[in-house]
Amino acid sequence: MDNINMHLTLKGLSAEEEYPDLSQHNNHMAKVLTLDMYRRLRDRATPSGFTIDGVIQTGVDNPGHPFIMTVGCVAGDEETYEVFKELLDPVISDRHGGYKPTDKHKTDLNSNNLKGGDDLDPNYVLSSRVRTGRSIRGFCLPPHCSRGERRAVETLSIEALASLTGDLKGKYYALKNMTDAEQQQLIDDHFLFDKPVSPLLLASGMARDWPDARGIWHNDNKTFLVWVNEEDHLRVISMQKGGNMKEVFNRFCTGLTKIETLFKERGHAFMWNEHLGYVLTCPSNLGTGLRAGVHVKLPNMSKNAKFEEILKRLRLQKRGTGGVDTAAVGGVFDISNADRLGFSEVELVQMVVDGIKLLIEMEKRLEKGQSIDDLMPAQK
Amino acid sequence: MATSFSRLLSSRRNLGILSLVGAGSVTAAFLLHREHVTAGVPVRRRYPASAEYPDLRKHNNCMASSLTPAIYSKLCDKATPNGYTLDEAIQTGVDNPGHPFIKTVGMVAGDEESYEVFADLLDPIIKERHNGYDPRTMTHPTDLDASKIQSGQFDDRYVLSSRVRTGRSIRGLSLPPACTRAERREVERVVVDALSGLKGDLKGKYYSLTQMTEQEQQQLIDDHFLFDKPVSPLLTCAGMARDWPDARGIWHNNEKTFLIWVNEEDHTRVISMEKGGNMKRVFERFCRGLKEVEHLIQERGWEFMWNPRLGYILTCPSNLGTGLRAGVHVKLPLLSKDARFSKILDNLRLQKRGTGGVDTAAVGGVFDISNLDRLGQSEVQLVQTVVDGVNYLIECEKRLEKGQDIKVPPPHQTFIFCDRMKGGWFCG
Repeated sequence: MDNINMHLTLKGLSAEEEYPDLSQHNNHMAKVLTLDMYRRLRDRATPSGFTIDGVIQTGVDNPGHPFIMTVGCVAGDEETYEVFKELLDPVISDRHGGYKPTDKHKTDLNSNNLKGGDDLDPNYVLSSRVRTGRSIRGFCLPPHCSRGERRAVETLSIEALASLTGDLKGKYYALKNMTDAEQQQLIDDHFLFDKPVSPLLLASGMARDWPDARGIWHNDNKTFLVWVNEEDHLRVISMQKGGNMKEVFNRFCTGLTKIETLFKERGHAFMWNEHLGYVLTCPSNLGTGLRAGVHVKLPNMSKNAKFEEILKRLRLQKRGTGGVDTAAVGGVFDISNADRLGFSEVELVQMVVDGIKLLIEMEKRLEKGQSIDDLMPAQK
Repeated sequence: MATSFSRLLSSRRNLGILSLVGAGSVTAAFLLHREHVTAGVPVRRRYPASAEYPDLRKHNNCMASSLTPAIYSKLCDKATPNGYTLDEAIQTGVDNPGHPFIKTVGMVAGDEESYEVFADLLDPIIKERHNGYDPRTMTHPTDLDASKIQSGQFDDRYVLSSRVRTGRSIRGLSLPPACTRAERREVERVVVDALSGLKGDLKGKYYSLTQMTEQEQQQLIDDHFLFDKPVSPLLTCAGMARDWPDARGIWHNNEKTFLIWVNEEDHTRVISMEKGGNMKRVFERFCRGLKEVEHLIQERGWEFMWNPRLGYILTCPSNLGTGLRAGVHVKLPLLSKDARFSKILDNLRLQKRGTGGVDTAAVGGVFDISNLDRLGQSEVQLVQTVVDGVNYLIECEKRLEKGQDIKVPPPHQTFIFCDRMKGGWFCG
């Protein structure tokens, strides 16, 4: 649906006059956007009124880093990916390894299809975790939602999560209502999320009205956790200590499928389509939105000159154990899948499982002063 | 009120608005009937006002004090002709609950019309912030005749520097929270073009933030002229830092005594300053410079936002009226340790800050002392208040140096506002 962008047309100012100065910028949006493209897209708006300037504001305000390529654009609703596809398709292609507008994304949340993964060496793997996001169809996304919509997402989520049973039974903690004791416990459990401080998120308007309608739900066992209205409508996390990634993924799939059913029973679906998979706020999280990872001790590997190349070939990425943008401490790394779109959930978790197994094998060789040359993987 | 909007209708930008008639629907009709301001672009609303009303229970700012559910309900579907909405105007106050001791305003204007369309909320906020000034009935006096200032030369042994600042907005262009990139660039063009016409001691140069050399940047930092991208969440939550540093810059005269910031928190911030205590000369240059700039933009078909009930229109309601802060850096080591210091300042209608500006602490007994008030009194009246007050403070300091006692002065004149309804001047 092609609504006219009233505001910019009202002022009678031209595309040239409005076009952002991207000369200092290094992000995906800045690499793709041209004046002609901007001229065409500025007259459009999604049915809920999201405009091209809303899409790109974060990328205009955050020129980026010479080495790290950020995305530089966000979606305000599901229709953003359609109305502004002229910009977003090439951004998606650049970010997701050449994914084409005609490609189809496969969803596979059947954890039985995962081979192995229950025996990653606990002497090296400290913890295992799988996360993704989900958006509720019909509601605007965090950059654009009104307070009423955000609250409606929260209400629906609380209701659905309250119906979970067995080892998934749990409790919701609203950010604005939690007691000091509850807050401290959530911090100790490393569950509590803060108001975003990253300018990448702030510039897109995701932190508006904080902490209204934000909260954390987790099961009594503390192995299944849902964030409500942080960077996405829902972030779903399954985790536990040790190296049983299979169990983590199993719980992840079971929990997600149950939650989806509970939403459907109440007349709500997740945003999903066969081209983009699950639709989330940031184009980098499309497809599976899945990051499966471990905290793993690789002190020798991390000093090895081939470490980066090996990770690249295994389609894995490393982070410090504080999450994205942190450094590794004591040789302990957060290693996870680099891809999100174009591979199914099972395929991505399989890459992590297989890759970690190999890295641990290499670590053991290096401990003994042996070579790892024969173990070098091919590019996946 | 009607006159300012008929001026808008006759402005050159109208061509764009009239061309919308083809594109259609309700919007064009809204815009063409403009006896008074009507709501602009229809606002999307899926939920009733009660579901959208912000949770302000932990908040302590002027907006939170005045925004009742009834007012929210009445205003939430309205928009200015530029499309600016209530939710945008109050976002900064929702996102920044405030401090138990310092009451922030909690709301901004996106354009001149915000003060009309959202008057039901802004008028009580203005009243609370500006000592009971009621925009519905009162008139704000503007007086930029510097010759009226008496005793405007301070003792240089105490006053290190003198400064007067204000802001000015260009009528017809949206304010920093709401402006598009093109509007912001237009503000820059209009202002820089006008400033290039200044002569004599006011002749100067513009340094665009996007284009300045490293050397120019260092010089501006050394001169304490360079402003940074705002970090205060009060400003960033209102959207004022969007597209930084596009169309932002600093202009100053060659003598470095007259300085203009372009597109920081307002369209322009105008500053006159110099070392030492000659406040009268600082204010004289201030008035002369402002009048010259106004004349230069008028030659080009533009004018400042101003009306008789609110004076000069700026982004933050706290800066309405004169938008004026006249102040000095003054050495008061003994007086500042006296228990009566705060009371003395209060009665003189002055405020103290550290010499780093608002939110900083004083160093070495040197304080930034300036007027508290902005609206309801003229520029001349406020500067005279500062002159009289600072002279009094210096007298106190000298007495304390000699071991003599000091007196707390009686409270400064109670506010005398001009009340249009009552037909004259009355105490506020």
